[in-house]
Amino acid sequence: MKTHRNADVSAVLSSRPLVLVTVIALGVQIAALLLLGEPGIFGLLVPTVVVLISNSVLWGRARRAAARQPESSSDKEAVLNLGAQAASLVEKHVCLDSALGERMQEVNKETEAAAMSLIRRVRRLSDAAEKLLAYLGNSNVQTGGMEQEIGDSVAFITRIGTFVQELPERLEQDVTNMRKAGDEINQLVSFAYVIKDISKQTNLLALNASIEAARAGQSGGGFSVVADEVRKLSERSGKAAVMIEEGLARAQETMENGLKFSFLGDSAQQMRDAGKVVDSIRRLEESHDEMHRYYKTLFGVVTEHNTSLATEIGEMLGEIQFQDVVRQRIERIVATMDSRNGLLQAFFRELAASGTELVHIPGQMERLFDDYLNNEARHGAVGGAMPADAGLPKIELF
Amino acid sequence: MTKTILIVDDSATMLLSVRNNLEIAGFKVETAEDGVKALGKLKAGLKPDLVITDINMPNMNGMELIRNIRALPGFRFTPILTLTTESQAAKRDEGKAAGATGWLVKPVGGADLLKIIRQVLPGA
Repeated sequence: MKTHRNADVSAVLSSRPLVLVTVIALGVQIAALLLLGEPGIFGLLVPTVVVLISNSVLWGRARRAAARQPESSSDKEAVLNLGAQAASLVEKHVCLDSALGERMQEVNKETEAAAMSLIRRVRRLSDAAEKLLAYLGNSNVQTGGMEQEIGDSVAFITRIGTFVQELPERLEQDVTNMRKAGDEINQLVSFAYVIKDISKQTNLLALNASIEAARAGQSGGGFSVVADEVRKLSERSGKAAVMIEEGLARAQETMENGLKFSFLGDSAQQMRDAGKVVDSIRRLEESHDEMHRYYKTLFGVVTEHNTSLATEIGEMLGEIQFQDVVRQRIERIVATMDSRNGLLQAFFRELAASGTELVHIPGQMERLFDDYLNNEARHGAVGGAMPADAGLPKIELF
Repeated sequence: MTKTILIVDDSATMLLSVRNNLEIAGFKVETAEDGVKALGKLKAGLKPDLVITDINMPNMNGMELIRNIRALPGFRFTPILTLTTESQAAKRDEGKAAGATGWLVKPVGGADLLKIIRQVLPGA
């Protein structure tokens, strides 16, 4: 680094007179500040480096001038005059550097504010993505619960649909059974007629028995009692037969009324409608399954994208660390400029006052320059301008 | 159980960016602006599972902080990572000797930072 710097100085030394080089360098700085308005980091750094080099020339020339022992009073006066001019120039240079330093600190503050704002926005973005994912996750769980309910409902409604489909056939069977029961009743009605007829004949027989008992006189008294009981029995049988006949007639009427109200007239339409209901329910179930699969896929895709988003956000937050790196580099430049200007002012004040050799200050300047380069090299892995220790990883666990 | 990480840095940008990166990843985060404040929090009872510290800080720099943390009872094995602009071997060696667990040179990407944290915090 030192060799590199000395090479630069030698090159400049052989090119231009002392004052001209410094004035040009200062002109570049002033132009950067005035014309660019917001010169930014490169607008500030480039002219600063030029001035550093030109000052190296200045110190070399001045030191050699001071090293020469003035042979006459006019030579000594020339050295003093040169020192006074250089001191005046350095004062202006210090004012300019002060302004540049302030601008650099402003740049630091502005980039820090922008970085902080960016971090907050990125965090809000991350939070929004996280909420979306939580919402989708919750919806997925709810959909799972709904799936179970829908499955149960579909099974229930399907059973009802099947029942409705089978209902006409069952009704047909019931009507057939009712007709058979009607036939049985009709047969019972004929039996009731037979009972009535038997009752009439029994009654007639009892009457004849009573007549014959009366003819027999006292010896037919017991038979007369039996004949009377038989007559009473026949009357009760006749009444029972009438009641059975009437009951059967009512049952027949009820059954015939029931058969008049038939479902069978609309059974074909009912079957078609029932079939449609069952088909509709099955289609609804298939649609729900499809929707649920789509929802699961959607959830998976969103989760994947959200993970990717979180990774990118993490990387972005890492990149923002550059602001801190740049801040430290700018602060190092400003501190080095302040130290350098202090040395320059001291050098030229003493030179103007004494006109003697001031070898210690150029030495301090060299050390300052070396310190700056060494410190800056610590950021070599970031900026690449100065090499850091080769081969060292950016991340190392001990 | 949520792991707690203490971040120590004098840069507000660093504190906010690293805090957000770690919070999004599910960590609980505490912060301090320099070594003195960090040490104060630890002495007041904060018991982080990991400390991530800058090196160049006012009041108390990272090297001093690491040495002081290692001297505290109960912090002998607490992992301490440095997150710094210092990339030179001499500084790393100094950090290692002070008791640092690892050396990270800024800037470190979010994924790399989480990867290294999960290496020193198994189960995190």
